[in-house]
Amino acid sequence: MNAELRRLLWLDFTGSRAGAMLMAVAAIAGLGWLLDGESFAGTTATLMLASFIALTVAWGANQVGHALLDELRARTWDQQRMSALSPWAMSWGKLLGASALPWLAGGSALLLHACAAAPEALAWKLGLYVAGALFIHALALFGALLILQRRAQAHGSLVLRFIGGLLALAMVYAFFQRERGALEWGGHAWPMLPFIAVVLAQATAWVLLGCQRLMSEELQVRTQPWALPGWVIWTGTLLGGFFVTADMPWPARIGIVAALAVGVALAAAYFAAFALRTDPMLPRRLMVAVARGDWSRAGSLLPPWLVALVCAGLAALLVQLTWPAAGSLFTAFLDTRTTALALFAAGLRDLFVIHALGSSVREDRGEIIALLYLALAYWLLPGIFALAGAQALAALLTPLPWVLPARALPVLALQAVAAIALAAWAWTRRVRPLTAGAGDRS
Amino acid sequence: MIDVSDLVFDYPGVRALDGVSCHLERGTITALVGPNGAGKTTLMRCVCGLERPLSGRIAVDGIDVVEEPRRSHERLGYLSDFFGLYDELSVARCLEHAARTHGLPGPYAARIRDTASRLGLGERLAQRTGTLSRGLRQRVAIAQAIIHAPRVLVLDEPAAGLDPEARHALAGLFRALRADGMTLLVSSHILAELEQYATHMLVLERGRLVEHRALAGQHGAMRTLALHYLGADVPVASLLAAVRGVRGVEIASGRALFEFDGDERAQAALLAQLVGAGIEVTQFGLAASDLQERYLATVSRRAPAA
Repeated sequence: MNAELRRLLWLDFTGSRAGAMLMAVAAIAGLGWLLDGESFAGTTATLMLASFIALTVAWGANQVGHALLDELRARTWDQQRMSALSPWAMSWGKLLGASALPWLAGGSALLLHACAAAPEALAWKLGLYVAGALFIHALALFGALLILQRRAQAHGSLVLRFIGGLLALAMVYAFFQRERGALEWGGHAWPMLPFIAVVLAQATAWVLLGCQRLMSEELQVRTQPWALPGWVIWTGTLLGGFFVTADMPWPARIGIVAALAVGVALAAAYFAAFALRTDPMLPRRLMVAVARGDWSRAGSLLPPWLVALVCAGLAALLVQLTWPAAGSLFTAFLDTRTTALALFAAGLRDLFVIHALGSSVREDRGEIIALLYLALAYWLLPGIFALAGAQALAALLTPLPWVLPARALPVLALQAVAAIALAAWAWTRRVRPLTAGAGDRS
Repeated sequence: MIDVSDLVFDYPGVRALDGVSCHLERGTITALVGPNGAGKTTLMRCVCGLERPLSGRIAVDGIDVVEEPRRSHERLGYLSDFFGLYDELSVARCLEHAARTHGLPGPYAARIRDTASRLGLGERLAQRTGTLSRGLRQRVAIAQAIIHAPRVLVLDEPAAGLDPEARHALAGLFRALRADGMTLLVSSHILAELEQYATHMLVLERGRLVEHRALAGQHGAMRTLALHYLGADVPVASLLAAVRGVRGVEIASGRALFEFDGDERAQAALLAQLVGAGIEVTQFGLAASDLQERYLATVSRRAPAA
């Protein structure tokens, strides 16, 4: 058995706790039975589903997150990092070990729900609930790893509960509102429940891969940067499928996916820039690896925001090759080709400015300054210029990539070059001159 | 056993380790000493693969720690200065978990019993670690670090917070581990404690390795002598430099420390020679604490330059 799974079972899965949880579920089921006129029917089914969501989804997510963050608080994480467990074994051991008791309690509630609910599409619904819970647990582990990376466990619990609760509510809403019917994807009609179940299962796999990648980073295991490009392609394809029609030629389909991939990759780049810890010494490590011709190491050192940015650039190029020249619905209202390039240039500018600002101040202040910069670039300055009637100045200094992209592109490209130079200067200024000493962390 | 070559580690704006190179031989106990901020913890964490250096190479038992940290962990045990335990688990389960995470094959009972009894925890196996005293918790943490019989044990301030009796027991344990062929790298600010078991001393200062040497008793007939005198240092230095069997002379402010290859008769002759040369000797004999004397001599020698 996985060592981490076993440890968490030792800690949480005691006979008394399991018995208490089962008794609590039985008591709620008994209440439903009474409310349903001494039978298992609609009220019982609803109560049991709510119990599953509360116990397995929300409590389980909280437990999974804490399984990791508690290690930091208890100062046991170094011991785990010194173990021989692989990142994957550590990830799934924590995921299943921490949620074992919530699964026992919530799983029994789900079984009782199955007994009381209407039989229509029940198997798909149950599969969906289980897949949804796994997805949220994986998301909680991913969130905890992000918090762990910054060694900031103090706010972890609140963040995890917020995310878990929000997603649980969203899932319930989605299930109750849209559990019937069909949807159009890839030019074909698909039954709603199986479609969501399959997408959810795939999304869970991607989140787990993300967990494995973050865990690898923690455990000092090198990985090559193929997961993020893979996720961008998957998400672009998933979203693009909703815009594709049955008679659309393949280049146009690829164009749509590529255009959406630009947005997805840029969103991932901004997220990574804010959520992931940036090692200030990374540029130097990269330079050392490149200077030695150690491409494997250089690849493993590439920061995710940069990988995502490269993905956005490649997708923007693909848009140039595949987007329909004229006549399509999308071309009618948007110059997509130029917009894709302008968006990429804006992303390039913003992310290097954020990187430069992050290199110039204390780590915890970098985010606030970066947020201030984004507010200035996209809201405050354009707003001030608009109020002053200085549209020409706004177009010159703070062009928005989606407004007149052809005019914005050259300005954004110049700004991007300046931002890269600024980031290089800020990094050089921070890292040099080196003064020996003060190396002890204690 | 531990090979470090040209190790460089940077924190933003600060070079924590500046081209550190050293070789720690199998079956030695090396005391890692230096002032606060010298880079001791950073070096230990790099050796254990917990921090990634900017450049340089670290090999433990031939395995490149930077390239294969996971594989090197099979041969490494580490006790952090701020260690933690799973307070809700019993001592036995903590040890079993440590054994399992290091990939040891079962059954574990005998191994747990042996390790626990070695650390004086034989009677505590069923007790929750959260209920143990500071000294016992320290022992559990060390037991976790050695349960997989690592070839190298790295300990950062292992005796912090321990009473004198526990420190003495710890020294005995380290000597026993060394006798088993284990290589230990131990950092501590309590030099008298390191004196009890260290065979070598490695001094770090401002991220640089300033000294790495064997301690007294590690060179066969060599003994470390301390000479205290009145007057200038230069004549003493010149005289000692000319004496056969004297080496590694360190002189500062009326105190000389040197290694002497000779028996007690030769030592008496040396004293006579010193007095005959007009040196006003106030104390002469074996250095009371080789490590402490060596460390202070190194630090005081370098102080004017710093």
